Amino acid sequence: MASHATKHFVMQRFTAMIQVPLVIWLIISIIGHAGDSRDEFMAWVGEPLTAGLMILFVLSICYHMHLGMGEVIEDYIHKKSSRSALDLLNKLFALTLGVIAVFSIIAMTLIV
Amino acid sequence: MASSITQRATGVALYGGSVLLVAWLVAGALGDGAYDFVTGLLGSPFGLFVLVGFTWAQMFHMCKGILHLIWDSGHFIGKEQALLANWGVYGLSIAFTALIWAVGLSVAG
Repeated sequence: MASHATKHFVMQRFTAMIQVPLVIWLIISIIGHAGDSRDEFMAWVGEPLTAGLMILFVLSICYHMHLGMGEVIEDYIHKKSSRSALDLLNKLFALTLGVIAVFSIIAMTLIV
Repeated sequence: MASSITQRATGVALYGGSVLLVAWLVAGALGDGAYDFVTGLLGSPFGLFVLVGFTWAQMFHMCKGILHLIWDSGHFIGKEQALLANWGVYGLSIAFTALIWAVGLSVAG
C-alpha cells in the first residue's frame, strides 16, 4: 500500500495533468461566453460535453486545491490543535464548493 | 527560488478565486437576478481587474506546474537550465495573460 505522502504526490500530479487541457478549454470557452445572457449560458453549460468537462474540472480543482492548501497548513501552522482545525476547514471548504458547483451544473442541464 | 513561493502564493489565490467560477455556475442555476448580479460584478472595472489577476495567477500556476512535471521526469534540472526555466515561467505567464485578454476584449467588444 502506498504511503500517505506518495498518494498525495501522485494525486497532486494526476489532477494537475488533467487540469492543463481543461484550463485551456475553459479559458477559450469563457472568452466565447463572457457576454452571455443567462439563457445562452445555461444552454452552453447544459450541453452534455460542457457539463461533463465542467464537472470533471470542478472535482479535479477541488481535490487539487485541498491538497495544496493542506501543504501550506502543514508548513506554516505548527500548533497541533490549530492545524487540525484548519485541515478540517480546508476539507469542508473544498468539498462544499465542489458539491455546490456540481449541483449547479446538473441543475442547469435539467432546466434547459 | 523565487518562483517556488510564487507558485504557492498563486495557488492560494486560486483557492479563493475558485469561488468566482462557482459563483458564475450557481448564479446560472439560481435565476436571472442572481445571474445579472454576478456577471455585473465580474464585468465591473473592479471585477475585470480581479479577473486579470486571476488569469495571471492561473497561467503562472499552470506554467510552473508543467515545469514541475518536466522536472519530475528528470529533464531540465541543470542549475542554469532550471534558472532559465523559472524566468521563462514568469515571461510566458505574462504573455499568455496579455494574449487571453487581447483576444477576450476584442471578441467581447
